[in-house]
Amino acid sequence: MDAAEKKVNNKKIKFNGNNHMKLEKILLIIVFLSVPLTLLILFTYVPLFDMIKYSLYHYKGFLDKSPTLVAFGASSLYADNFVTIFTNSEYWEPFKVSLVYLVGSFIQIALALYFATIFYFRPKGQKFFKAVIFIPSLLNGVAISLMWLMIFKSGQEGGILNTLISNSGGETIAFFGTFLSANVVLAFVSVWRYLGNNMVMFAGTMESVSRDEIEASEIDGANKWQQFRFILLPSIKKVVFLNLILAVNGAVQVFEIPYIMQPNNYYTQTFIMKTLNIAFTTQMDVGLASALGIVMLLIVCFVALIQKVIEAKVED
Amino acid sequence: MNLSLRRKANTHTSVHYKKTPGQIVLLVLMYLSLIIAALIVIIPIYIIVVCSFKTNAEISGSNPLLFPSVLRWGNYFGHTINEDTGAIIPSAWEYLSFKSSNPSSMGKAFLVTLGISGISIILTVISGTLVAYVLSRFEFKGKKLLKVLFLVASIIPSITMQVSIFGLISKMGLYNTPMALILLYAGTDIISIYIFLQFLDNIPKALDEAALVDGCNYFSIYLRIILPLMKPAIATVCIIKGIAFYNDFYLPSLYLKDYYTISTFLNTMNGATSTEWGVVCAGVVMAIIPTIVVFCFLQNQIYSGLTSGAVKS
Repeated sequence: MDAAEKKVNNKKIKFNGNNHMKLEKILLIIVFLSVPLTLLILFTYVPLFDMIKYSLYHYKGFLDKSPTLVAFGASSLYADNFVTIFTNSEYWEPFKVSLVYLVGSFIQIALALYFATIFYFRPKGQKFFKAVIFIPSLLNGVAISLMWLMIFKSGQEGGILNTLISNSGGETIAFFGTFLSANVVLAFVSVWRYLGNNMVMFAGTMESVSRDEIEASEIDGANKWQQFRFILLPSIKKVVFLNLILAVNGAVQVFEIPYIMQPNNYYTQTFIMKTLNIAFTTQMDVGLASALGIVMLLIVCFVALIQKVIEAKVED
Repeated sequence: MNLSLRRKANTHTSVHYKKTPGQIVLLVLMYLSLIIAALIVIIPIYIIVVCSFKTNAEISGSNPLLFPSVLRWGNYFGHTINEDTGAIIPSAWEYLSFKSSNPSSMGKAFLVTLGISGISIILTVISGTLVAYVLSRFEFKGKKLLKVLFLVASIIPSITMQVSIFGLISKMGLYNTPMALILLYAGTDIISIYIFLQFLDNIPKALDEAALVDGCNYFSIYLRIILPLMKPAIATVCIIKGIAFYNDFYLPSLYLKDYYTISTFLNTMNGATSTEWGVVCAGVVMAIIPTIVVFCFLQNQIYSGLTSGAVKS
């Protein structure tokens, strides 16, 4: 038993004066933690080590999604999968896609800040506007994706926008026809979906700023921009920073919207889509897919590390 | 900084009482941006509602903002007949009921989704509160290691490990069972542990100690004191997770073949060779109605739940 534990327990032991409380405590810790800890290890750490192991081998398998793993030449360790990823530009395409989403996320955060600030000043009808802007972030992602697909589809497929354009005599637009327009459309849908989420977080955190302070600054002649810049923004600096960082991870992990709206479009393949394709449909290459998963994981961990370093520096 | 700012800007003091032209412009711009944002949200949803009452021909041939003269309720329930081919077009609700191998309906998909989400939430709350209670109230060997294990797990996104998790689930014989989803939802959730932990740290330990003196054991402290006090945090977790599980598409699309959740059910309508888009729109509308109803009732709890979930993540 270490010193800290003794300190904490001293009082209790004095009151109870018996040792069976200590036994009960140990028993309770074991019983309470057993299931959550088992799940944690089983579904986080075992797959993590599996993934590292798979990535080092030429593993092909999951044929027909059956549980058996078939290993081809899995006799020794290889860095082959990583070499494949880093030497084939095909596997770097998702990076470009992620960049479009990243730019989208930054726009999203800026807009969320803008609307959160507006709501801090309690405009008329704020409850309605806040609810409307927020609602998309609660809606089912498949429903949202199908809705926007319906709107942005090509003219022949009866896309709503294109129908409107051709009805008014314009030239129809192939929204998913080029890399940039396809991904900008998808990133727009993503911003449409998640903007309200950021906004509510920012608005909720801003509420901690006392209205007296804002009123005082107003009497002193501060304008809205100065109030935002010097009073409101500092109050939510931390949350904004966290969201900027998380935006990078979000951009790497985009999946649902492009997968449902454009599953077979060459331009819109994200990391996750690529990984799933490699593992389950096109190549059945578990090793390569795992290696790609590790690349993603490293990006995420690197970003998390930067976040911790900057946070530690700010606190100093 | 604030003081100097105030002095600098101190020249026009009447600002508070009378609006300058500049302020009026600002006000107009503010409301204009709110209205534009609201329209960007509402118009697409409105269009989908309109389309859900149309046939394919009406969707591509008429103004998307106007309802058709005859509302086609057959897109929602029952079925309609294609006038040219005489083929049966199932409604959104009955979409998979004509599937030969494993007929399903949207009602069944709702039940499957609710069942899986409900069980997962209960397990998440139980295991999350247990872990939070132990971590916040007891000192023991290995506690630091345990905290590191949870912290690292909170950084690793399980979406990146799906290939090896899939292998694991298959080996456990859980592929194509709702159990796979329940275990993955409840077993990889770290955020709720942090929400509970943060909440528990604000409940004074003196409460437990008093109960201990009164002869309660540790388990009854958890059951009778900790759990009831944690109700607000539990509500937060239920809301956040409820929305996330109801809307999840990734896991059910990967692990369930014969069971449909709302998300995967909707996606079966996508990409079929002769998609009837009015039916798809009806499906979309029915999938989002429950969410909007829940939001209307729990608006404030959802807002505050999101904020408290955001600060610690």
